[in-house]
Amino acid sequence: MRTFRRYVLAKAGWYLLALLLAMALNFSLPRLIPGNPVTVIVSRTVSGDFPAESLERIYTTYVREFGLDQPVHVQFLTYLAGVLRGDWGTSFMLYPAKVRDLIGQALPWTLALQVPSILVGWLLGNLLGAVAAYTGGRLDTGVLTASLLFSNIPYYGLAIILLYLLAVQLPLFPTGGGYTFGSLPNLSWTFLADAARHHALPFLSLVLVSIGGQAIGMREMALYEVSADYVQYGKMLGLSDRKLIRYVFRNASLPQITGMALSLGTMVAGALVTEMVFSYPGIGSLLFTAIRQSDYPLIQGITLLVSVAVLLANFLADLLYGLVDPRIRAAQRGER
Amino acid sequence: MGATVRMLFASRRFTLSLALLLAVVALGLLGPLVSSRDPLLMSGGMFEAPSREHWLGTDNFGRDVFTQLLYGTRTSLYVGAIAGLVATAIGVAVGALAGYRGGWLDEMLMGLTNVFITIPSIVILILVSVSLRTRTATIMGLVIGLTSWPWTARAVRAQTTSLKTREHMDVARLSGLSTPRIILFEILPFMFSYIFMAFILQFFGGLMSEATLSMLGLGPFQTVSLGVMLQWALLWEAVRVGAWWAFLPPVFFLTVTSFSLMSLNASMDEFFNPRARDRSARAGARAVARLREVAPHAEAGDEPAPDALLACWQLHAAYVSPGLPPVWAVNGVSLAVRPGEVLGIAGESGCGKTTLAHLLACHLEPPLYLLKGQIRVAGRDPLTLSPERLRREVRGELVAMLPQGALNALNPTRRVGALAVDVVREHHPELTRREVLDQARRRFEHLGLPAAVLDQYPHQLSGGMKQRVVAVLSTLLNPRVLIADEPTSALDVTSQRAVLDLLRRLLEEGIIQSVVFITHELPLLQQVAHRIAVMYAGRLVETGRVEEVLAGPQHPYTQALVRSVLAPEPRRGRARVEGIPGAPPDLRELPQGCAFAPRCGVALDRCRVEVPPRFRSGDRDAWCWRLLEEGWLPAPVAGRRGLPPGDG
Repeated sequence: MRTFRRYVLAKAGWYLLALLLAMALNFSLPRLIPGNPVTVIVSRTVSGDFPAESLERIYTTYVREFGLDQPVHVQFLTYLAGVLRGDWGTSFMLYPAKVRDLIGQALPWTLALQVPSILVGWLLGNLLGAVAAYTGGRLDTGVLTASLLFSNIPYYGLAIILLYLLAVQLPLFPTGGGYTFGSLPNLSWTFLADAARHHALPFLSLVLVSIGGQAIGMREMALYEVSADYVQYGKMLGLSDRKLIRYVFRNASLPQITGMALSLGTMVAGALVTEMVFSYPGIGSLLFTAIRQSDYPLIQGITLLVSVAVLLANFLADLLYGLVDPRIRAAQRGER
Repeated sequence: MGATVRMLFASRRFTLSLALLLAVVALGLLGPLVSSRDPLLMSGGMFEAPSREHWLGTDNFGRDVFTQLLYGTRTSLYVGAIAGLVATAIGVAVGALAGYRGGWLDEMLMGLTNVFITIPSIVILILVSVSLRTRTATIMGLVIGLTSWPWTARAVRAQTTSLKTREHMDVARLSGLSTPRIILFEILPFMFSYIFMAFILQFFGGLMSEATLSMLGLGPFQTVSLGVMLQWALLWEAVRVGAWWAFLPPVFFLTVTSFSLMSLNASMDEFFNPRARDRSARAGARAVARLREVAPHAEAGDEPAPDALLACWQLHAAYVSPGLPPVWAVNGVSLAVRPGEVLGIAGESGCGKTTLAHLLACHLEPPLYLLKGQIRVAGRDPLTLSPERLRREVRGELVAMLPQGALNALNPTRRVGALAVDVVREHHPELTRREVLDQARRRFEHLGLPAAVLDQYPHQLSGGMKQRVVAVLSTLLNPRVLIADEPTSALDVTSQRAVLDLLRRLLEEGIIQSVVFITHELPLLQQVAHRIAVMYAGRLVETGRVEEVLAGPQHPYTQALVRSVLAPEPRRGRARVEGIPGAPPDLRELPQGCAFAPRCGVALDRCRVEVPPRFRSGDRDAWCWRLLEEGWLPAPVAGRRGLPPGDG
C-alpha cells in the first residue's frame, strides 16, 4: 500500500509541475503583447467619447489587476493567489462582467455536450475496434477504412457537413444555438426538449468522429491481444467468440483509457470548434468571441480551465488505470 | 532497401494513399499557376453559385472560391509540412538522445516530455498565437511543431532503447565514435521507416492544428488556408445561406489530405509490423486450393485402428500467406492414440510438432490450413462439424490442449476461478456460477492444488503453479484426450515433476483417457510415454514403443537425438553429450528426398532424391532407405528388420 501511495504522490508531483507550467504560460500571455498592455486594453475596451474620469478608473482597475507596478515574480504570485481565490479577472468586451461568471454560464452547456459524446464515442468506438480486430477479414478492412475516413474528416468539417445537410437542406434540426432564440433557460420539460433538439446535431458530429478515432486505436491494441496466448488457449477450450471479444476488449481498453486521457486535449479542441459551428452557447463559442474581441482575460480564463480539466482527467486516468488492471496494481504495490 | 520499397508498392493501400497524397501536393504546388486571380480580391458578386466564370462560385466578398482553394491547399500543406519537420526533428533528437544516453539525462528529458504531453497543445497554441504580432504561415508551422514534438520523442526513445542493445552498437561504442555520430549513423538508419511514419503523423497533426487555429480566428495573416476559408464561411454564414461551394471544397480537401496521410501510415504499419501483416494476409483461399493439388496423395493402408481414441492420417498442413512462400509444417503424418495411452512426440524445435498439436486439437486458423488428411476424435470427424458445434462439442469436451508457453495462457485480468466458470458454463450453461466454483474447488483440492488459487490473478502464481492450473482448467470438462505441448520446458526440475505427477494423476483418476505429450526432451518421454513418434521437418521418421525406440533407434535422426541427449549411464550423467550438427531445414524450402539427408552422416545418393517410404517391423515404423540394407541396425531390436517397403 505504501508503494501505491508513493506512486500516487509521484504522479501528483508531475501533474503539479505541468499545472504550474501551464499557469506560467497563462500568466505571461498578456505581458507578451507588445506595448503597455493596459493602454492597449483600455484603448480597445473604450472607443469614442468617454468621460476622462471613467477612463482613468478603468485604467487603474487594470493596473491593479495585473499588478504592473510590482516585480515579475510578485506579479506571478499575485496571479496565482488570484486564480486560487477564484478571481479570474474582468472581461474586456463585457466590462465589468467577471471572467469567472462568464465561464460559469457557458460551462454547463459544454459539459452537457462533451462528457456524453466523449464517453459514448469511446465505448462504441472501442467495441467496434475490438470486434474488427478479433473477427478479421472483410469486416476488419471495412471498419478500418470507414474509421480512417470518419476520424479524418476534421471535427468541424463533419460538423459543417451535418449542419448543412440535416439543418439547412433538410430542416430536421435547428441551425444553431443551445435553445430557441428568445426563450429563457429554465428546467421545464418544454425547455429541456428544446435544448435536446439543439443538442442532437453537435452531439452526433462529436460522437461520429471520436468513434472512428477510438476504433482505430482499439483495433491496433486489440490486434496484439488477439494473438496473445490466452485468446488462443480460450479458443482451444471452446470459449465462444463473444466471451473472447469481451476478454480482448477489457484488456485492450485499459491502455485505451490513458490513450483517451492523452488525446483529450485534441478532443476538447475539436469540441470547442464544433460548438462554434453550431453557435452552441458553450466555452467554444465564448472563446471564439473572446479571440475576435481580443478579450485577453477571458481567453486566459478559458485556456486555464481547459488545461486544468485535461490535466485532472489525465491524473484520474492514471489512477484509474492503476486500480483496474491487476498487473499494474501489483507492480504499484510491489507484489511482483 | 530497394526490395523493401518494391514490396511496399505491392500493397494496394500504400500505393493508393500515396497517389492521393501526391495529387493533393501537386495541386498545392502547381495550382496557383492555373488561376490568374488573386484569392483575396473581389472578382464577382456575393455568394455567386458555381459557373463557368467561377468554377466554385464566390464567397461573401465576391472572391473566387476555386482560387482560394488552390492557394489555401498550398498554405495548409506548407504549414503542415513545416510543423511536421520541426516536430519530427526535435522529437527524434530528444528521443534518441534520451534513449541512447539513459540515466539522469533520460529521466530529465522524458519528465519534460511527459509534462508537455499532458498540457493540451491547443492551450499553448492559442496563448502563443494570440500574443504574436505577425502570424505568417512559416511562424504558424514553427509554433505548431514546437508544441507537438513530445509524442515523437516518446516513441523514438522506446525504439532507441531497444536498438541500443544490439550487437553492432557495442562495436560502434568500442570503436570510440562520438554520441552524435552513433545516433546519426548507427541508430537512426535502423528506424528510418519508423521516423518517416512519425513524420507523417506529425504532418497530419500540423494540418489539423492549422485548421483548428484558423477556425478560431488565429490563422495566418493576409493569406488564405483551408482553415481560414472555413472560418470565413462560418463567420459570414455561408452554411446557413446554403452556399455549399464556399465550405464543402475546403472540408473535402482537408479530409482527403488527412485521409491519405493516415491511410499511408496504416499501410506502412501493416507492412512493418508483422502482426498486422499476418492479418492483411488472411484470404489465401486460392493459394490454398493450389497447394491442395500439389500435396501428395495418401498412401494406402494408413487408416487407423478402430479402437483409436484420437487418430489422424496423411495430414498435410501449411501456413499460407499470399505473397510469401508456404511453410510446409506437417507433411503426411498418420498417428493413432489408444485409450489409456500416452503418445510422445519428439523432435527438435521447428519440426512441426506444435503445428501437429494444433491440428490434433482441431484448432485450425489462418494462416494455418489443412491441405489433406483426416482426423477422428472418439470416432467423430471434427472437420465436418460447423464451427459452433466444433467449439461446443469437441474443444474442451473431447480434446483439450495444454498449450506451449502456458505461462501466458491465462487471461491476465481474470481470476482463475472466473476463468473456470467461463470455461465450464460455455459448455454447460445450465450450471450456476456457484456450482461451477464449488466443482472447481473440489477438483483443485482433489488434485492437490490449493483451492485459494481460484481467487488469485495469474500474475500471483508461480510458473510451475500456473502450468498446473492450466492443466486442471484444460481438463475441467473431463476431455478424452489431452494434448500437452511442451508442458514442462520452461520449468525447474521440481515443478516439472509436479506437472508430470499431475498428468499421471489425471490419467489414473480417469479424468482424461489419453495424452499426446510433445517435447524435445527424450528423457522425459522415457518417463511418461508408452509410445513415441519422432518428427523431422514435418514428417514422421520413426514410431514405436518408447523403450524399443530409445534402446534401438532405427532412423539416423533418432539415433542422433538419442546420442545427443541420453547419457548412456548414470555415472556419466554430467559427461558432454554430442549435439547434432546443423539445423533442421527451412520449412519453406524442403529438400528433395529425405529431409534429414543433408545432416545425415550415412545418407545414400538415393536419400537425396527420393522420400523414403515406411518400413514396418512389428509394432515399429521407420522411414529410412538404410533399412533396406541387411545389418544396418546398430542395436538389437525385436522382430524382423530390413523389410521392403510395405503396409505390414
